[in-house]
Amino acid sequence: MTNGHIREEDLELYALGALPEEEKAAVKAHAPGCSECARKLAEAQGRVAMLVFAVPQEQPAAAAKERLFARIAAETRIEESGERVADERRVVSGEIRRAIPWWSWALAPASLALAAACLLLFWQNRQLGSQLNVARQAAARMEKEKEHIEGLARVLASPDTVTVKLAGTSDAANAAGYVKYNARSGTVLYSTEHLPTLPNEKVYQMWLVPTTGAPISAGIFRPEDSTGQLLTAQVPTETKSKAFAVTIEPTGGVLQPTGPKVLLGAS
Amino acid sequence: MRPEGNADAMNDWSLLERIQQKDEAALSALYDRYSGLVYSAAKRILRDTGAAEEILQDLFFQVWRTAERFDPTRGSLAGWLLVAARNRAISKLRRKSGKTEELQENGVAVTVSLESISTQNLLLEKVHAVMGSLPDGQREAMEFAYFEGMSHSEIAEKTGQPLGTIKTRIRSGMETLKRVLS
Repeated sequence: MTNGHIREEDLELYALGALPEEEKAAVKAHAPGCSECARKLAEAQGRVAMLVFAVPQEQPAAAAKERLFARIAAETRIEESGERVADERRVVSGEIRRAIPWWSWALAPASLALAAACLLLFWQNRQLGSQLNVARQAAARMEKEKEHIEGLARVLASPDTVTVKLAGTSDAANAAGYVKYNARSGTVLYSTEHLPTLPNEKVYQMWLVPTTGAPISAGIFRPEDSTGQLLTAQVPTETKSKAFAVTIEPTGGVLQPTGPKVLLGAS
Repeated sequence: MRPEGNADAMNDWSLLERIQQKDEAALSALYDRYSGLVYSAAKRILRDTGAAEEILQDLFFQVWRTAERFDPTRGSLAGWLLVAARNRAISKLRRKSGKTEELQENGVAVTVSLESISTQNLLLEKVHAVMGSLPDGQREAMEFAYFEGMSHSEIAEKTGQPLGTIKTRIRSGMETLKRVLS
């Protein structure tokens, strides 16, 4: 601490999770009650959050989103069912019975029938609403997928798109592949063949080697993902490429190439 | 009733208001905007597709359930998602207790809006360039802290470098990041 505040470098380390437990505890105890330290900590957290942009970017499978919305739909159904049970319990509670005049019991069968019909209609309405939502979600997903495919088709057809042939190095002499690269949109499309199989803890990683600066990751893949299929990746737009290369890296990929090159092609 | 307006074009806080009203289209738009970043961070740390997807689903489900607890004055929603994804992945990695972040815990101040793909691309370019330009020792120390959740003393032990050197390397790396992002 200096002048009653936590040093900025310790706040940076805290945000990064690199402080040991006892020093973490000191930050946790002080920052919430000190507006200056809380502000600096929030800024440090924000900078650390940006490190996510150093990670090779991947999209989750479309099924992941479907599972999220299925979980939400299931929870909604459980909540609605709970509310109905609670309502029914309130209706038959003693307090409500005492408030009702004795002669109204003559109307009870009709009222119950009406209530049951209302509940049924309500339930059917909710079911239809839920089904409609699922259908809307599916339609939106298909529309997005269609747009994505159309976008890729536009990239392939664009005169700006260059094709780079990839040849196997001595580590994978029979391997080959190609890259279609559109710098304007930052789109990289590629396919490979005859890459050797890899152990589980390894993956292939595609790199764009720019004319200036460090290589940029264009995605990780297993050999079976890329054979006969077109993989896509997004890199920063307007990046001038010097070459494309594929290296063998640990599962999850790396920020900069570390493993042996297996495919290489100059732009 | 479903509120009017194109969810894809809305800012994060407008989407959150609609999520509070249980508008699934708004959650879908927020998911499309940030799921790639959240998933990529979790997968890089855990190196496991299923575990990364579990964190992704839990985070967006938490947004859906407790959207009203987010306070725009306390920081950025995107920042919270990214910090929470990383913290949860590290907790899972290190098999710590099941403690999770409360939505109103530490604010995360992100000075740029991450809502557009073009900004995300720009940041991708900048942060890649920064990390690529760091000396190996600095980058390694930052990666051990960010991706493995190691404290500076654990990094010192793993790399065989003095504790002071590790602190200096991390501080220099963070300074460089701060300069570039500002």
